[in-house]
Amino acid sequence: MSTETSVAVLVIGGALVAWIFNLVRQDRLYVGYGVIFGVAITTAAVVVGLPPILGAGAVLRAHIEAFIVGASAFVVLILVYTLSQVTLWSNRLTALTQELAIRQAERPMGHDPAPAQRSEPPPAAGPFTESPRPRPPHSK
Amino acid sequence: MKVHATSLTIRGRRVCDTESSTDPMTTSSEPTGSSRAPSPVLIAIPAYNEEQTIEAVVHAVRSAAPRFDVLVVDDGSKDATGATLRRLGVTTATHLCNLGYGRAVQTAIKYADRHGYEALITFDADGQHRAQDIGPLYEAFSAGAFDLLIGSRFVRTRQYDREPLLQRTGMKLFSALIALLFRQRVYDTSSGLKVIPRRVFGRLMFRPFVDLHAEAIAYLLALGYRVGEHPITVDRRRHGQSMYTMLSAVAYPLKVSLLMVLGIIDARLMPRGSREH
Repeated sequence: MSTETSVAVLVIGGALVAWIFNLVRQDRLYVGYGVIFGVAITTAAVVVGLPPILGAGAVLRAHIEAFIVGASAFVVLILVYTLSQVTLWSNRLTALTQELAIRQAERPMGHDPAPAQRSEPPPAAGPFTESPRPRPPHSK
Repeated sequence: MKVHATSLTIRGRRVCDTESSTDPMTTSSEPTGSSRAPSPVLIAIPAYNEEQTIEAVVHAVRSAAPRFDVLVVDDGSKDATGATLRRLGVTTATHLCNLGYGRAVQTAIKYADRHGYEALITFDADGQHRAQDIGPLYEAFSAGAFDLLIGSRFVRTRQYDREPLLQRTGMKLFSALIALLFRQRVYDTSSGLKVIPRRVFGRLMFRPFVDLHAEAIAYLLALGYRVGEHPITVDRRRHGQSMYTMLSAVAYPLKVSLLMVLGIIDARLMPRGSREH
């Protein structure tokens, strides 16, 4: 691998790690994914990129290497993007779950609105019907 | 629910520094909810599958701190924890699924922020904490000018020998890391018994944290807040399982370390004015 390719690998790897960590910082990527990508990319960049700079690498055709590096970077890019979208959805679901929990905690204990307050008549109780669940005050 | 609008006059002064955010649940100097808490302090007990201990813990906390409100955050328990809490009649925020300890504490912070509490005390549901430590801890918090007061197992003895090897290593590692970064020794970075005042609610509500332990401490220290420790006694866990497993022993230090570094960078990047408190 040529020195130029090695430098490119290190620069691309560094930029990817910086981007990933910035996503974690902004809570747009789950920290566990960030750790996995950070460790993997840093290791790969060091193992692939450093020996040729130090003069210990095998000689390969530069354009094939460049293609492999580019393709790998693209795959990582798409993976990180996908996982950041998953993280965003996860964060939204978390916020929703927390909000529902807080609203439930705000509800008075054993709150059961009077039948007159209900918007629809309660279903008739029968052997195969469940008793109606109390409606939260927020749903009025 | 123990919330009344009449307590508005108690907290006529500014009680929280603000943090600009686009989140609809942004904290403010005034509670975002329509009502305010009569008690100045909320004790939050995050619980996950703690059916064997939760009843005793709630009773102990209620009798040790009758003036404080209690909120249990049931973090999607699959056992009878929920049923026990309903029977006890304790205020409960139930997550529909398990979100993890850090998110459970954040739910409690959001609740405390919305209802105007001056401070939040987090208390573990596994029965390891002693409820009688709450009083002295809160007194120490009121007497000192702390922005986070940690109930510490090690600040007095400085002996970690009772802890399992993995946890002991992690505790020492993060304690050393914080000492290195901030020149302040925090002996117990993973204590679940903490006093969090209202002025830092906004700092902790929306950031990514693993469990609001070392990474939250580092973030607050980087922002210039004062973190202190007060000695407490912790009993051994008798029921249930620790949230730290062999797998998490590998992943946890990496996650926390990364969040510590990112938190410090974030704090440094923050404009000077918004860092002041």
